[in-house]
Amino acid sequence: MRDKKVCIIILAYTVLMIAISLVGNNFLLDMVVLTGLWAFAAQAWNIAGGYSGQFSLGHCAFFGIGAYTSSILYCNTGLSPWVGMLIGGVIAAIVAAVYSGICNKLKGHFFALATLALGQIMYIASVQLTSITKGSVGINIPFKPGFLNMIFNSRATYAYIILTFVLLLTLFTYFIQKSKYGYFLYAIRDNERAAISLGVRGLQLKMGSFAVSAFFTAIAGTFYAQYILFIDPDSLLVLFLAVQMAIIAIIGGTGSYLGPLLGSVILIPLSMLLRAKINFVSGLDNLIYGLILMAVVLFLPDGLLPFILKIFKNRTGKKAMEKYPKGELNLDAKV
Amino acid sequence: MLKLKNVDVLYGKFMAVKQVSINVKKGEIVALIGSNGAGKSSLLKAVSGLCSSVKGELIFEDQDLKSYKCHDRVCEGIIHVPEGRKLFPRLTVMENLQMGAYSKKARSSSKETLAKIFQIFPRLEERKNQLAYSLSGGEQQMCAIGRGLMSLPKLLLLDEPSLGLAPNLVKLVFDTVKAINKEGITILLAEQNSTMSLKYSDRFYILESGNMVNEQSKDSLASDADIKKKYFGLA
Amino acid sequence: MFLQNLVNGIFVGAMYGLTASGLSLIFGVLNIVNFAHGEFIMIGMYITYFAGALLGVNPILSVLISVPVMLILGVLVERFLINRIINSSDMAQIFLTVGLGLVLSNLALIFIGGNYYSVRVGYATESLKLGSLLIGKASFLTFIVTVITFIVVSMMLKYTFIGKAIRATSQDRTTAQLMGVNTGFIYTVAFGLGMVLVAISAALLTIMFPVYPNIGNHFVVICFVIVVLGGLGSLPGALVGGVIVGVIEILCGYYFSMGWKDVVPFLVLIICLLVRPQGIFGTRT
Ligand SMILES: Nc1ncnc2c1ncn2[C@@H]1O[C@H](COP(=O)(O)OP(=O)(O)OP(=O)(O)O)[C@@H](O)[C@H]1O
Ligand SMILES: [Mg+2]
Repeated sequence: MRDKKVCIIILAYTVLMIAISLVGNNFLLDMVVLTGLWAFAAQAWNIAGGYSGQFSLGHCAFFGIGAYTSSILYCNTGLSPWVGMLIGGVIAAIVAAVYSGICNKLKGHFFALATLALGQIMYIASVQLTSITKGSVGINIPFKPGFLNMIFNSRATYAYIILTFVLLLTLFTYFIQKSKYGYFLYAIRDNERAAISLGVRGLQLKMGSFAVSAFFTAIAGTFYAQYILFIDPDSLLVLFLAVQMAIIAIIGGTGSYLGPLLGSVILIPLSMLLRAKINFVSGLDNLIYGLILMAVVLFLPDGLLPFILKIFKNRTGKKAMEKYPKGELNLDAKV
Repeated sequence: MLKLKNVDVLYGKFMAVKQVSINVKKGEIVALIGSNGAGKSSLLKAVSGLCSSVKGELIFEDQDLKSYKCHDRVCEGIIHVPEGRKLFPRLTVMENLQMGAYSKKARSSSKETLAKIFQIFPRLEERKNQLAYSLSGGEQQMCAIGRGLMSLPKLLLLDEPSLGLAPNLVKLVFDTVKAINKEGITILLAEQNSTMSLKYSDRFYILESGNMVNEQSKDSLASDADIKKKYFGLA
Repeated sequence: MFLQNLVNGIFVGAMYGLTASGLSLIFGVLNIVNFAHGEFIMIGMYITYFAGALLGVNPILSVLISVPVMLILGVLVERFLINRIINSSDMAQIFLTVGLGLVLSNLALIFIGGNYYSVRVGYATESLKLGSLLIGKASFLTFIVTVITFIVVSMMLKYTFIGKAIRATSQDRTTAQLMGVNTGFIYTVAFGLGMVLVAISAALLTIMFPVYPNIGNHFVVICFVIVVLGGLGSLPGALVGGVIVGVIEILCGYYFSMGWKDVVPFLVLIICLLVRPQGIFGTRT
């Protein structure tokens, strides 16, 4: 069973990679890259928000740390962004672990408020530390294509890279979810005190999952910087960015490693199309984000994934349904 | 007055009360007796409407209680004095009592009721401007009962009024309960203190892990040595 | 100069406190942090702005329009949205209001546009002299309105029957139900009252700040700091928290650089969350 799922994931990845090599349309490639990027970021958010119940509204801070670290190192010392990416990831992970540790006692709303403050502090810092970050002017990354520079002529290359990232992170979360750590994290999310009393190391696991989540979010930040080749506080360190990661994961479904992928595949192309086709109304894409988010929270609190799986199972498994009286069949949708 | 027939109370999938039927007549004091987790509080909550998933028949004065929401049952004359007093901690004693007279019917005559309650519990009048959380346990229990009486109930549901009180206070509380009952208020009492309940109640029901084991009146108990031994520690 | 800054800080802070009081009241009763609070402020500010621009109503009097409008909006939002998640998970509560905020700010962007609008009042630049102190007429006026509003609302909560029911519900919703309180109705009343406070504070803010679709983000964060500082759910706490934040902001702006002063409220927020999460006036639940 386990191998089968991994096989399906890798198969889907391979098919996508081949499909990309056949696509010449720039808009479509852009869509693939951004969908992949946001799938990756939402997947990273979900490690903290979905698995251990630390609803962060400050993940833009880690995204920003990743983007700024690699870009500053690259522009000032020429260090390859591939290395800068890891350094940024480690810095973000350390900041996250410390922050999660000191905010350990805060739950739900209060944790969200504390992380929101973290994002805002990073924003102000990036505006004020002009000698390092160039403040609100932003950093232009010179266009020098090359593998070591993580800058490419073709969007297809970016697409290959981000899809590989997504594959690796998805497999990572899949194995985490399957492992005992997955169960521990769910236990903490659902009832922290009970979990701790049963011997689960709550603090370490929460710090750890927040750090891992921040690490991958920072990597998304570096990739974003190398793709857009321009970073500034207003595009990286705003609340909306943190909210977007959360929205994608929640709309897809926070309970599973497939949720954030589904959320991204639905939302990003939708908002890009809206922005491209109805470009005379700015704000329409975010309005629709908000509406979908509200609808999902109200009507499908577990996200779209369980809902879709249920429909799918109902269709293929009609016979199974007939065997059980209605309402008795528990379609546990967690994959 | 109150008739429960085959009542189940569920918390999710867990059934805290199973197929319990009881009957309370006007003017009686009826006690529910059972150990921890027997389902006494759950049964009272089913009557007052705090439990959302209740099966079976609940009839109060020939009306189906289930069609009334929790707050509407107060208007119908049922008041629940919950386990552990549950006063509003940062309201004064006076304000707590006034909250008892929240329903429209009780509000109009709240002044007279208040005077009566201060007569029953003179301690409360002395402390009327004190915040409730700073009262002693006994005063809190008086305040909780007083607050319940402010609603001019027909049926008073009392959950463990003797909890955490010294023996002399327990006696005082039970004496008060008896006095309230003499005024014509029917009382359904949940208690672990079986000896006291036995002494003061007209009839009692015994609950054990959600099931009703036995219904007894004082007289019938005399002939049932088993029950006497198990639940009342009497030889 | 220190005294001057202190007075300025108190005046600005009291207004911030009023801005945060609606958030605090709603949390106190419904136990929900309204992440769309900033967007409601934005709507209130637009109402005041358009009342002035289209009807020539002065900002203070515009509350006659904005209070009923916001009250109705609040009641509708509570009945149709908030009400449904009152017993849901934290995640649902946080992200329903986050989604609502996104919807409101983008509706404003779509229908009103991204321009900055400001109200001009004649007395905005005039000042009163009090010894060596200079007090802007506008900030003096807002201070008076703020104080009156606080007094009226506090009296209402303290002495009226519905006010007592609101306080009782915020302290123990289950027992309030047992006493015959229709808590669903109380939630609606509290949310509506919160929106009334938002409407009044937004009218005052419009005198000093321009309005645009994202202005909410600017204020909401300050509001979060204030209510955490004063204790979520406590009205006096909101006023004191507001004054503290206002004074800190003005003093830091004067003694440090203007840019870094914005960090201070967040540091205060974090320290407060860690040291005394129930706030100055809050009580542990
Ligand atoms: N809100 C709840 N959710 C889940 N289970 C509950 C809840 N309230 C009570 N129970 C369970 O229902 C059972 C009966 O509880 P109840 O409070 O009615 O007992 P009780 O007879 O009042 O006990 P005690 O004398 O200790 O007060 C217990 O096993 C308890 O764990
Ligand atoms: Mg009990």
